Amino acid sequence: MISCVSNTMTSQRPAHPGTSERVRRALGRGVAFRRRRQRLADLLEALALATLLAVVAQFLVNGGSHDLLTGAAGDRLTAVGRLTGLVAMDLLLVQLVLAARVPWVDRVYGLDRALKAHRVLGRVTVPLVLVHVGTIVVGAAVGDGRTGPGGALRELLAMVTGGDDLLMAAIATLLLVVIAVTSVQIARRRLGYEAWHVVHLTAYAAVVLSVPHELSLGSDFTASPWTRAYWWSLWLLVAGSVLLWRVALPVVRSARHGLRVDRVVEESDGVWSVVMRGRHLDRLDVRAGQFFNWRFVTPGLLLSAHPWSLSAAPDGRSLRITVRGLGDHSAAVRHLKPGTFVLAEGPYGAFTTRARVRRHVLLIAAGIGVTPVRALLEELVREGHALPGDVHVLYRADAPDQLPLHGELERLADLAGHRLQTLVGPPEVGSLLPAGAGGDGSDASRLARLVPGLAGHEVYLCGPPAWMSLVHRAVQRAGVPRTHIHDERFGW
Amino acid sequence: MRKATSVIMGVAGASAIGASWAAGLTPKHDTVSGVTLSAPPAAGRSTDASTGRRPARGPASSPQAHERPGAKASSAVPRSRTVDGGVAHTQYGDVQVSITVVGSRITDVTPLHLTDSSRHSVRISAQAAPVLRSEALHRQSAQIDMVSGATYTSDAYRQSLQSAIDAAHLP
Repeated sequence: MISCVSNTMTSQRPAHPGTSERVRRALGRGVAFRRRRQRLADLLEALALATLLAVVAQFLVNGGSHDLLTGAAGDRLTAVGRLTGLVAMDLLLVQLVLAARVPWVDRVYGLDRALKAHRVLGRVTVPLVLVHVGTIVVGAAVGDGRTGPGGALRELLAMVTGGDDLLMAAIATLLLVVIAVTSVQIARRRLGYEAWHVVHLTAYAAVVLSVPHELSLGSDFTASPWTRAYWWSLWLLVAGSVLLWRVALPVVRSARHGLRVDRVVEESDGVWSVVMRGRHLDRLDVRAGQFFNWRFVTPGLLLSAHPWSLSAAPDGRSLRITVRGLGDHSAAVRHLKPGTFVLAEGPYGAFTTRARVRRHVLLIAAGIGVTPVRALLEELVREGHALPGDVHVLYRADAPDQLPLHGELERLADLAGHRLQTLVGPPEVGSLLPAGAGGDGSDASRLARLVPGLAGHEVYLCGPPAWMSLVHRAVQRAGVPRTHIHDERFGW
Repeated sequence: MRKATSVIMGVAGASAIGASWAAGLTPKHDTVSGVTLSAPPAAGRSTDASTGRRPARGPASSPQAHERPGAKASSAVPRSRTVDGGVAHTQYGDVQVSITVVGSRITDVTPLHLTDSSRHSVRISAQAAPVLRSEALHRQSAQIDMVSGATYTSDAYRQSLQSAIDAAHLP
């Protein structure tokens, strides 16, 4: 990375001797993008941390440290409750921003990683809310001289029924608990994505319901005009982000482009491509490797959005996705009629060549994970961003008849002189490769034998999550730094 | 986050938290502003009922003490005075009381300002104030019990009350 910076940006000689001007410029843009991305990442993380620090500092200055250290038992518990409530509110807002499809967040981290951070924070936030409720109730019970579990229960009842917007706060707490329970992996597998998603959207209601009690009871929110202004601007900023990018932009984009199904094509057994056309698609800022959340305006497919990657580089006239009929909805795609309206949220994802700074590219896909890889290869070939032989494509499948889009990959690779290799064979436990491929030894050494000069590649991988973990590990062991490994992970 | 940014954020964050921790250890509600500073100027409120002129400055009519309108300036009936206490700051708002003194006896305690940082604080102080008032009248001093659930209000009430008693030169 560092040597690339000095080569491409500061010296007069070509970055990579022998590379064409087009490739050199593409790599230079990658270097510039990485620098911008790093700065933006620092800014976003510093901002998130700063909100947390501001909230905690404000609490401490307002007598928090005094109460925690020297207060009466009831005051101490209340102080813990105040602090956990404040931190939980701040983290909830950060979570909303992470899920709000903010373009900068998506550009820097990719929606998949933003949502992973959202999930990790959720595991902290909901317990914090419960601690907040528990300590506030017990603290008040102790202060009022009500002791024992019965006293706490009476206190809780008195609080919830006593006005002060605590009924709303109690509903918000219940909603958050339900959301957390449904989000636990096992529950989600039992529940199905659609039901989980509907439950999850009530998180917005939970946050809104929690605000009134903060204003009427939470002196930490209203201690001074500054804190009041601080919280109001946070709330409005987050609400604005959600409304603008999560709601308004997809609606406006869908209306503007008027996407409709053009045709549905069977690619291989159970794998179908949907080609869509619309207006002004050349003005849509979308790259190969990105995905949309798709809704088709037809019974059974309208209510749930599905994240499917583009399986062809966008050409400004049409968009294509390729879907394997796994779930009910994926299977329903084959019955789509030409002319069906399409609502698309996106494009999302950082799985693009924007951050590519290396000449040599390894594209490695398994199963239906081939779709974004197919689009990336097309972009590299069509834009002339790779010299002949510089791109190496590995395509893993369990059986020879499970290689959708293989013909297209072959044509593209032949056209530009790139290498395409299929890795076909039943799954091997603990290995990303089929038996025999690349000889003996570890996955890393076998992969290095299959891809000469592996350590110097920019690596793009897509496939089932477990397989991607194996690839990640093997490629890193073979000497590829993490910053040159690109992937996209969706838990569902 | 890059290393330099993490270090900057770490140092800035740690010092911010440390400073606010230290600042929070001595909260504002532990102090009562001086009576003479916080009490409204006597000129605004004190009139001599019998003459309609301002009373002469003297030990019996300090800047905070003044005769109540309508009080008879007679030797048989002790004069009624109102004395404002100092403002006690709490994190939930300021507390200030004034006492009405007849002779050396406190006949009434009137809150001029009570904790009001939120609707909840207002309700708490509204519940606590009558209890604290009757306690104060009963004990004739600021040595009154706290009202549970209204610790800050009670504490500040006692402080303001004590400063009013001091200013009124009551025994």
